[in-house]
Amino acid sequence: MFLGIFTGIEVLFFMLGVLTTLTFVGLGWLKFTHNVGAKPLAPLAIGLLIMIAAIAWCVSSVLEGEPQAGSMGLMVIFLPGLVIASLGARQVYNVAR
Amino acid sequence: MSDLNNQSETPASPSGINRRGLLKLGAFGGLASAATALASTAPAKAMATGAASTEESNAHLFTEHDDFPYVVANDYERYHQERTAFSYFHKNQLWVYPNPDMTKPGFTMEDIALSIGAWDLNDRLNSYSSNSGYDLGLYNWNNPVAPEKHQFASKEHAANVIKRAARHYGASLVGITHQDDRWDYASFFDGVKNETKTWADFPFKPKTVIALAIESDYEGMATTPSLVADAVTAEGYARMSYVAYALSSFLRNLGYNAVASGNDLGMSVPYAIAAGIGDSSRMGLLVTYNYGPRVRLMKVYTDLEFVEYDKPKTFGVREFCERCKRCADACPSKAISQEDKMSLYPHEGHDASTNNVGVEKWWTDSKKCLQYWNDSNTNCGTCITACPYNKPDFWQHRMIEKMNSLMPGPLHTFMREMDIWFGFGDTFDEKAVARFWDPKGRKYDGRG
Ligand code: SF4
Ligand code: SF4
Repeated sequence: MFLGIFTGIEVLFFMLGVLTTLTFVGLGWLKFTHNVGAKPLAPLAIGLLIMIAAIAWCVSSVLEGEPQAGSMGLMVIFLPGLVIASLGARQVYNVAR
Repeated sequence: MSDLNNQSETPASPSGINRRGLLKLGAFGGLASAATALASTAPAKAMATGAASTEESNAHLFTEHDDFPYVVANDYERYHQERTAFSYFHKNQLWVYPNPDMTKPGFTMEDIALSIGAWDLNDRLNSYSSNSGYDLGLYNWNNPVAPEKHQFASKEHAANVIKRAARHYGASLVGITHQDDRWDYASFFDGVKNETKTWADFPFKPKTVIALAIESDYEGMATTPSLVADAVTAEGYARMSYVAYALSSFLRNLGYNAVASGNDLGMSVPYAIAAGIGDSSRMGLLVTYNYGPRVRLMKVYTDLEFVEYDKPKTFGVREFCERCKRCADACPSKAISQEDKMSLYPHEGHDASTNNVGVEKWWTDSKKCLQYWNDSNTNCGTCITACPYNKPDFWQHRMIEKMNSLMPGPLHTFMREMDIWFGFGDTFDEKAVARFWDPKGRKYDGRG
């Protein structure tokens, strides 16, 4: 995988690092350039972090050969994260508009 | 499976004579494809580093005990090797195997050969010691000892050196404890020679017992009950002996008497608990923090005394087992207790003739267990596969494990259910056999 240098789990955690950084940069951008307050930002941040955790869980489950654990992770971790992030995004959109 | 008393832990080969000679929900779109691409790296390579890296940060999860953490009755009587279910089956010539259905996954000619290959190796190293006898193969009692005793700088240094050497030879877990009459067989029994010996015949008086565990292959154990899982058991038996033998030789070269021991000499599970490498469980096997019950146990008896001893450590297995019962539900012979709590003595109606009575535990019926081995033509091990503590060494399981240790009892039932929903611990899973043999994602020529 990846030039035969990195294992799947190493690539996964590198990608998670990139995603987490982008999340924080995006949240900062909303706060400082659009003056979005902590209250509407909080659900968006929580939802995105839950989704990142879900990606970590799901991909790890596939990597260890347990796809059912991966699909369950999608349902019980990723989907709630998506719902919370969507609710947060609506609030942020209303404030930033 | 075998209980806290007799045998070591995982199903052993029921016969010294090589009996084998007879013979998830899937669609998750883009994420799944990304994951599958990542998965092309062999899972074993993707796994995180071993036990040592997590040791420090896990310290708060363990409770250290000054004494053996389970009650031992005042009227406790020492156990004799002759009372094990293996001896019972030998004496009564109960090892009778039906021909396997060779069309079934896990019982084909390739699976049979895989199992025979591993048992053959073990039998050459240790003869029939996996289920009877003593002083056999690498577990022999008489080996040369260096004439001069090496003086260690400190007890701590001695313990560190021994543990590093054990790791070097292949042990996954190591603990050091005092020799304890309660856990040593009062007498040894060789069911093949029909011969009995006692500690008076042993070449020295042991002072210390080094308890060792080696991990068994997760993928292979996922196939229980099958001959693929048998091959894992047998290969484990072979490895047990050479790891323990190498460590005993290391000590002998430092001038101390030392003898390697598998299932002979004493009971491995209580020794392993006393040495702090795991906890007692409903199924009677040792449950370890890193590998759950998916380990094989062995020990080294030595007269070295100048060493720092470990303390027993528990991490909530007892509380989890009280609500879990997954092994008892999965056991095809119903050999594992469904009682909620451990007890000091067997409950009414339990056949305790092969049990070590007077130690707090859940009671298993080893005769029923071994009869199922006969009937299924395997060493079963289904209870190990079903156990929620049996997980690959991946970060998410270490996280769940920490949560389990910190959570109150009622949530354990929820965790057990989630474990089932997430697809872990499936037994009698024919797809697991296909996964074991599947070449996809494996490169055998050094390219991956
Ligand atoms: S599942 Fe039951 S029969 Fe199988 S090894 Fe465990 S105790 Fe024995
Ligand atoms: S399956 Fe459950 S009850 Fe059985 S040993 Fe494992 S944790 Fe305990």
